[in-house]
Amino acid sequence: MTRLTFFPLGNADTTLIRLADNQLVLLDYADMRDPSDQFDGRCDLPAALRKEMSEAGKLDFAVVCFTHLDNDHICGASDFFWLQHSQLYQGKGRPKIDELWVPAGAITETNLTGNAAAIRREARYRLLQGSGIKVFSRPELLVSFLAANGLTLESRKHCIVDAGTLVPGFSTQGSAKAEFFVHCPFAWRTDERGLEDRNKDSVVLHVTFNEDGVETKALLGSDVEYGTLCEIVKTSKKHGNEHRLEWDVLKLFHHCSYKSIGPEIGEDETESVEETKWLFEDQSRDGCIIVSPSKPIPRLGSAEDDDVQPPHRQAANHHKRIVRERGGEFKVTMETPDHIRPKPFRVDITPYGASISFISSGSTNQAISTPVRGG
Amino acid sequence: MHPWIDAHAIVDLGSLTHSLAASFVDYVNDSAGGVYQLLEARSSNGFELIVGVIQTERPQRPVTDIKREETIAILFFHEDFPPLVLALRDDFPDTPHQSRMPMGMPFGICVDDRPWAEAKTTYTAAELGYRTLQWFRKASRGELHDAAQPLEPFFSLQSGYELIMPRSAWSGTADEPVELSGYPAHAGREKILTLLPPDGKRQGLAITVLAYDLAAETMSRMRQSPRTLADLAAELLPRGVDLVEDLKKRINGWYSDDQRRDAIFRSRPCVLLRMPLINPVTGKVEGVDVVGFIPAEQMIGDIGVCLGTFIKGEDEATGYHPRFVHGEVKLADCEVVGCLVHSAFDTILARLVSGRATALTGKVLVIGAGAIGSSVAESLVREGAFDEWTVLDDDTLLPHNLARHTLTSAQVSSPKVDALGRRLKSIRPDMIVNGCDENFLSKMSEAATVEINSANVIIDASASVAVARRLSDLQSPARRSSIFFNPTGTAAVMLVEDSERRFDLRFLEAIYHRTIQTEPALAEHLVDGKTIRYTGACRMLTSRIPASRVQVLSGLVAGGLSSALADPHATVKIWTLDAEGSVTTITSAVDGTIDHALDWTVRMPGSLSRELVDIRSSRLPNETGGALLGIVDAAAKRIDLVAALPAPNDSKEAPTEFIRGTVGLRQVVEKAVERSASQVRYVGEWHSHPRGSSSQPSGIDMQQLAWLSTTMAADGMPGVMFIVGENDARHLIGTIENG
Repeated sequence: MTRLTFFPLGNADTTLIRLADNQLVLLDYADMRDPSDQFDGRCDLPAALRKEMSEAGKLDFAVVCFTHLDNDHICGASDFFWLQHSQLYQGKGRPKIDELWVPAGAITETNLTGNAAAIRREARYRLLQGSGIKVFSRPELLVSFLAANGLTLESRKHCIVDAGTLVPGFSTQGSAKAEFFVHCPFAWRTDERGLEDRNKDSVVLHVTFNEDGVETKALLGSDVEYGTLCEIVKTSKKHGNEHRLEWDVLKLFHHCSYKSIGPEIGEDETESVEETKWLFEDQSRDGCIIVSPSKPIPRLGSAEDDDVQPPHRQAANHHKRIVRERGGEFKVTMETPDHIRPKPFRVDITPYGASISFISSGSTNQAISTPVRGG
Repeated sequence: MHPWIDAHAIVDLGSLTHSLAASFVDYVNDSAGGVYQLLEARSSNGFELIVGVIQTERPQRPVTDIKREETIAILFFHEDFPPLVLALRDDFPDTPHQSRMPMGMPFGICVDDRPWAEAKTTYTAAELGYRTLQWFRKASRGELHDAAQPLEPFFSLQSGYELIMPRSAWSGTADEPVELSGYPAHAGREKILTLLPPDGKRQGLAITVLAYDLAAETMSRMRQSPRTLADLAAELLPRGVDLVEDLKKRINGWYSDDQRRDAIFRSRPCVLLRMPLINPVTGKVEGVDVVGFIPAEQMIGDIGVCLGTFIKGEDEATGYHPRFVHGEVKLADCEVVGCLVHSAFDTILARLVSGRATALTGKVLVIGAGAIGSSVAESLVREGAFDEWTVLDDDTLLPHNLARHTLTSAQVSSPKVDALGRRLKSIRPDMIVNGCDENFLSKMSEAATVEINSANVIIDASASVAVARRLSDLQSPARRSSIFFNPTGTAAVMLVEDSERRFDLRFLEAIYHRTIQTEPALAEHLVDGKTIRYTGACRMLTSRIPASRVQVLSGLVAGGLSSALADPHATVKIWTLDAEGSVTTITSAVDGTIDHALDWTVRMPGSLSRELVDIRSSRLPNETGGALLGIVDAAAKRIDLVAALPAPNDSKEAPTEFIRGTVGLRQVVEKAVERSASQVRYVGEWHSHPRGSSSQPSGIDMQQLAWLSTTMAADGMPGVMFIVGENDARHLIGTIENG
């Protein structure tokens, strides 16, 4: 059974997809916990991931996707993964990455330090090698980098996936029983901005799972805002790809920020614009699940409620209304199963749709032995 | 809140005294707050309740209408009872694995199907929480399988009555209902009633059965157990049974039956329901739920009164009278007791429970009611094998028999056939059991002859070679088998003829002896390394063999018979049980040819002829040969070949000639004879012909045959010569006429 696991990491993203054939696909890696703070409710991500890996019987990841290079999506990555480009990152026990997925910006961005720099070096190394990497869109950004290394875009075409297409290597009919559709970053957008806008250019994926012939769809947002979402909606409609925006599971954009719904935060509920209204209200399916990878939603009038940083109460109210109308559920990573002791939780992809599952998390995970005897 | 819950006083969640209840509260507070939300606790005389909300983990489109959150209550009763999980929603869906609950109580879900006595020693609040969550998760995903057996009802809240019902209960008609008498089984088990046809002697609870077969339904919970006949009628109406009308009609009919009226009117009705259950997972009927409802007070006449169609006379003698103007139907006063119904043990149940793929049917005759006969018969009877059993033996049960017999001291000094027959019948009362208290080797009675001629299968369990051989020759259409232990009790042997009887018991005996001669592991099968244990009847148990060993070996034989008789081919099997308990099974190939020469028949095992062909090939271009061993029955003029011995070292092998030497041959023959416990003997010679030659005997061969015949005549036997040619082989038999 395919399952998605979400981790309580505060305002940070990590989503593990264990495919039907037990291949592991990790979207972002943000080990945010402060081990010196005993009251830090964020989970020990390396430990939690290793537990999931051993349950799946895997030592390595089939795919690790860094949607963009912000700290809340990559924190600690260079301490965890086995990276090809340097022996510095090849210690014993580090999980390998069969295929690295990054936006084009991860190759071209400059002035990077720490984890971001390490990921860029790794991405560049793999791209030059011509294997173990998929770069999402904006090939024009890569031209000069490749040229500087004596390569042409044509020679690395197999490493580049355009928005509006499926990532090669996965199929709903194959063993993975899943396919990944790239919505963002856009191939066609060629504005002449001086700075890389990471959020706008971050990777947005749509996954279609097939469980016993029944399709369940997940939209895995990164940090895009409503403007980019509007462009995604318009482009998808233009190309007849509306079905690639249907969703049963939505991993929220930007930690439940109102900016991914509309321009104004609103009093009690953020108001959507035409395209985001369509995306949230028309493209959601009955019983849908929204996961907010964020801190607990602030209470009305609390100090956090005044914070400009997400999560925003008004955005959460919007999402709660969506799931209420669909008979679904809204889960916040730092509030699940409760805000005192948040724990990783799963969304199972069953033949009956997506289902929240606490089974593998925390103390309900009691090993039950049932002796079976006849006599 | 559910009215049943509301009826109990609210108490503080921290004040619960039941240890599991208190620890469940701690468990939720400490570690399961996200899954369970505690609402309140209640307490009543004898039990405590925790009411809360569970996050059910249901998928987007649940198979049954399980909500994302469900309000539940957990009932903690006495420590000797498992906690009971109740679903409080009025419209909680029908699913498998729900308990039968009395009317008025919320729905109960079965989160644990283990016997509580076994589970409670390790039971924790976390496990209760986990199992409850698993139930909802599986119910919503359609994964609550193995649904045929619902959890036993919560006994303290149930009638506790159980009925053991003969299959004949289902054979009644509306006009001629089945009348039964119910007898409480034992002191302390008064609620278990065994129902039997009235025998006119013992006074039991008179019961008239009204049996209904309901249409198959997908396994789900039984709605609340009906408390009154009115509830029961309401339950049955949607399932196609109009109980009220049917009762009226039947009681009217019975009234006009002068013979049975009084008996029926003064009996309790038992509404017997048979409900095939469809497994929700496989969609197939995989179980049958049988329940019976008996009014607590009313007899059939009283039910007629409740139905408004009869009035009760003033005294006992006048009985009940029909009403011309029907009154109101008042079945709500008629309380019923719901009873679990067990089918009495019979052939059908035996076959079902033993799980044998193919049941052996028809009639079997067993010769010999000793250790192996009684044990194998008992296993087969319990497994539902055969519909009719006849046991033939003239022995008397003596005290020393009990060491290895299924019979008991109470039967000592009885004829074994009587006692064993009674025992088998007492296990499966619907079988026909006959006994013939006579000796198979003596002149048989007419009754025994009838039994032999009507049997489909005859099993020799007599431990006598003579019996097996006579059985082999006997006129009867039956397929035959012989089962016995070896003399030291280390092995059991089973010979089963093929259904066409191409290979009879005598031939199978030869195959058995051939296996003993050729299998290294069986070198001591008939011989105890130190002393030879045979005494004429080589299969007689002369050693001290424990009953446990007899049980194991008999079990192997009983199982082997079930398989072998279900298969049309012949079987020869030897099971050897070593001191540590490992069993080695040897199955012999059964094939061969029958030759007629003069008025003798010679049977040749296929494996022996193949062996000789191989030896011939290995010695080419020379001829080769050697001595032959076999079993000879001069009276029946029958020779069954068993084995060939290798050419002695001083033999002369040449392309045109073979001269069998003599060095060591005597010792080899004697050893082989000893290994067979004197059942096989030297019968003649075999040799091969060279390349391109047929088995046509040469002049020298004919001279040799003459010599053989003369020599063998001393033992009253013919000389046997076997020649293997390029493409064929033949037997030659020589006899000396009139000495």
